[in-house]
Amino acid sequence: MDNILLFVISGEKRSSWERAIELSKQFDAALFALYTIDDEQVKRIANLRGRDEIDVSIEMEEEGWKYLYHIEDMAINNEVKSAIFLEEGSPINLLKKHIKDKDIDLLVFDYQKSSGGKGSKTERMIRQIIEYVPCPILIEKDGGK
Amino acid sequence: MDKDLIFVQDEAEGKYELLEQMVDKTLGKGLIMTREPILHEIKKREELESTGVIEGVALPHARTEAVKDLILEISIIKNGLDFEALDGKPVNIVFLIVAPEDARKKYIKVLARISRMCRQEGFRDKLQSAEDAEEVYNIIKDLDSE
Repeated sequence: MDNILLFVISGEKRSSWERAIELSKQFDAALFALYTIDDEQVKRIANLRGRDEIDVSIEMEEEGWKYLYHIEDMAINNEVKSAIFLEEGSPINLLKKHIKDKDIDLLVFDYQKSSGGKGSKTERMIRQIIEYVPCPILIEKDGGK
Repeated sequence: MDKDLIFVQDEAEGKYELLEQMVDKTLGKGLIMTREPILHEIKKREELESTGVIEGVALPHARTEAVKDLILEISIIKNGLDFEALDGKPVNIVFLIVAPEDARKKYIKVLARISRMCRQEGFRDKLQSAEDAEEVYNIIKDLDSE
């Protein structure tokens, strides 16, 4: 296994971050961490909260960098070679692009049951990832090992 | 952003030579007292990580107590440079950020602003075709004030 992609969904330090670093170290693999700003989500949040789309997007971007830099620090402390990416667009399309471009062997991300249930945006995204992503996937159940 | 910390050149000898040149400029301007701890920190990070915002752009960075405030430098390398990125693609634009350990918030805000600008259509092309530091400065200033 040469390349691992960690898909950073949201939230504070998650078990998938530790798992991805642990696996990268074990297999001497490169770790790529990707945070996406979903433009659909930006529009939805802006509408819902009556806010400007640009402000919501900036807030998400700053949050994304915060997570990515935490992951990067963790990778450096564990001597894992890493690269971090923040992109704007459709998460599924961006994931597919990164998996293809970087010849990813394993995709890692967190699953946290959302209060929205099966119809929620996150649940739908996870189903799409499972359906369309062309590589093995490790879903880390948040909080559990 | 300081115009004197913007470089436009056709080529660079190598990744670390470019980073040394950028750090030396801050030394020359009196923004840092010594270059070695900063170069060490940048190199240590660069050996283990790379930051991608968009193809062709590199964001080397380091946090160190050797600086009092955040320093941002920009290099445009018109013919591209092998930055030894994990994705193997050359870069034309380098944003170097060095910040004190306790300036994490500011650091993240600067990063977010840079990455937002880099994703704007045409921004990269404009920077790449800029003739000098003044032009780069104006492109960034105009976009930042929008």
